[in-house]
Amino acid sequence: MSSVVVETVPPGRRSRRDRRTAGALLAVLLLAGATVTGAKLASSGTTTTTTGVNGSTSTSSSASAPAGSRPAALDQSLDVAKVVSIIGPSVVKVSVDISGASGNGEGVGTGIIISADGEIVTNAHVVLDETAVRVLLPGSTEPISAEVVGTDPGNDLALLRVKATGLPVAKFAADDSAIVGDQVVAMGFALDLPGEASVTAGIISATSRTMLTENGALNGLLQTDAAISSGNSGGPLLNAAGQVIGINTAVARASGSNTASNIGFAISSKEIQKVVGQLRTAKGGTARSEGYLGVGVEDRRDGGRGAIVSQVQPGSPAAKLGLQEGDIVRKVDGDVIDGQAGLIAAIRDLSPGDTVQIEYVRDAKTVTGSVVLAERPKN
Amino acid sequence: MSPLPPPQLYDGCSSFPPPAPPSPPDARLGRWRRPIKHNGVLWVVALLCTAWAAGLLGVYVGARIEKNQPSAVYRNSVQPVVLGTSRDSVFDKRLDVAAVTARLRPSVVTVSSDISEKGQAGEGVGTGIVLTADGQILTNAHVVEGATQVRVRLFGERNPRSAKILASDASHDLALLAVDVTGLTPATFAEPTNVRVGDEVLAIGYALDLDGEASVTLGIVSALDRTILTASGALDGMIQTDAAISSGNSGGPLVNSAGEVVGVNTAVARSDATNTASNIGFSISNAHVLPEIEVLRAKAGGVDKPEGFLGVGLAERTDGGRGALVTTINAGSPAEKAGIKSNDIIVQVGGIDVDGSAGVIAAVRNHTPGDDIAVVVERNGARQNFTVTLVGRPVTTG
Repeated sequence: MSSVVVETVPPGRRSRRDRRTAGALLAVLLLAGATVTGAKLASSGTTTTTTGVNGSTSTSSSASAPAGSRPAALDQSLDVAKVVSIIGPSVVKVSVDISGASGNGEGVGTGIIISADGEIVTNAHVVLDETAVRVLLPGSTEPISAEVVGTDPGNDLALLRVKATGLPVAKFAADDSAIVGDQVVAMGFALDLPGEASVTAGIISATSRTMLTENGALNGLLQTDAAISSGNSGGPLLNAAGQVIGINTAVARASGSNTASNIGFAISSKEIQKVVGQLRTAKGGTARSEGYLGVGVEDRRDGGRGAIVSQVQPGSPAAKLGLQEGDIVRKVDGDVIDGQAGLIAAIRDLSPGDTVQIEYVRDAKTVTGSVVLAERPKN
Repeated sequence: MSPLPPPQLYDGCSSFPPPAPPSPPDARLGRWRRPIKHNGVLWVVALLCTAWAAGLLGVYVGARIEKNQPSAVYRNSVQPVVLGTSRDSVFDKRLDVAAVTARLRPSVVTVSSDISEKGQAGEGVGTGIVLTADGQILTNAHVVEGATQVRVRLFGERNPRSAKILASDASHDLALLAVDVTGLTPATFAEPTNVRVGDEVLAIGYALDLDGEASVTLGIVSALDRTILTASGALDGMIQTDAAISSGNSGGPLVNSAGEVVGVNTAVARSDATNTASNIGFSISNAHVLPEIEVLRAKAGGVDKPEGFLGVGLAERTDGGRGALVTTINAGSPAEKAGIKSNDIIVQVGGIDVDGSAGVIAAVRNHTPGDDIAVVVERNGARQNFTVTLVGRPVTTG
């Protein structure tokens, strides 16, 4: 089994430190061996080794982009047809028989081939309550049966496997290479329209979005104005080099009082690589446990950033740290938190036993403290 | 976080059909889920902009125009449609919106009709494309369906002129109109094969019948060869675009970077309670528009083109595969004679891969009675080939 293919894109004009202080990004620890470290890569600038959790290794070389700059392709205007020709063979239709609380039915989403021997990543909500999962490979008319290797509902990602060899593997962009304004293409089986996948174009509207979902919270999301629709779930958002920068997952919808036009959200390449590594581990029997702080949180309503503590569980790490109702948690491990979803996701992505640094505001004073996260209590 | 104030929404059209109930503000994209009660047809809506008003208004306007043009002449033009030349290099050019708009605008007109339906009088507004200098206009059939009076407002003119429906074909959703005028600027139509996924395209049309000139919106070709079911049958070979199109865009052009028409904007997918649809618009491609113009011209001259008939009932596959499922076989039909059976999955018609029931319906309809066509089906996991001799569509009721 190979690891997710990460193309070596030097991590950009900003060092990792700069990114953190820039503030918008939430802290996400990289699993051991999951991917590259920014500073080193930037200085060597040519080759990266990515190691999968099972110890297999893949090496790829970048074009000789100068250290400290993104590949030139990302700064050129995007050639949609070229991107489609690169990624098209790796984009599959995922169709699912559903039996759950909402009744029986069928659902359709999109998936991305990540290993030649049949691994496919999609959204967890695509295969929620599944009784059967099928994958339609590009160019074929008959779907093949797929096995769900593992799902991570909190991060809304799932790993599928089909019996196949020699599949064309999608390449993923290096962490955080996507910046606001990049031209992007979304590809997926929008509305399960008959025929090939739909292709839509837009730009990155924002990075590091957070949102609440039925299963918790998503963070580090890319926001795009490329039109995405039901059925796009699990499909790729691509940069001008044809690399996957995200997995299209959600879209804002107009309500009675608000209008939402082309506000789509994609899980970033960085999150995908991390979670896929975890799902492969989980398959081996070691399920990941999530970090637990022990606070109830609310969004701020005054336009500021951070999350308001509405409740502190007695005996929890939060209580040990001295957090009180009304405190505004502003940073976790130095990264600014955006809203309750941001705090929930940042803590969840850490593990029990991890020491976390929390910066919060009480009575207009900034306080910083560290505490060891606990294991999430059952229920 | 306080919610944004609601933007001012101007809807020049009335709500017809009524808007869907409000959905949660931050709905999860969700996998596409098969709607429980209906198939795809309901969330594809045609783009006619309709306003139902008191009957008097429509009648009055119509009468006034008639007075102004007492002896209008409506020609069934024989002037050829202007075709673009082969221009592969165009694909690699960025679309200059201002230049393309300037080139196309004189060929884009407003089509308004008085509609009388179920005792209610109303007005519908769509868009049309100038086909010939001597007054022939192309639009969607649904723009002028049920019209008691059709008017066309030319570019740069303030008042509409009376128009006549020369011919209309609901199954292809195209209609030819004639206006008594000469010296118009005809639009140029692209070679049907000169369009590919990823091309930048511009939609021009009278979206929501807003005051003033036509709206222009920019996007790309999202897919080719889409098939959709409509109230009047099936449309195939459609171009899908993410250029924003709205009610009132119906009959208007989708234009490439050379300023050539590549399709006629006809329908858009709409969100429902279960599924979200963002910028999924459909245009009839020139591969269908150009031959259909000739069919409509012949029809205006009194010659009807008969359509082929296979005689099967169809349903969509629900397992994610391609093709369409045969549910029933009409007794004595060409399908029965050839040996096609219920539960066969039709995957190819006349050498062309088909997907969905709309794909099969349209592929059959595009052939002529008497044609021998090859039909490939999947039966018990194996492919079987049949040759079917089509007949003319029987006249049926209901």
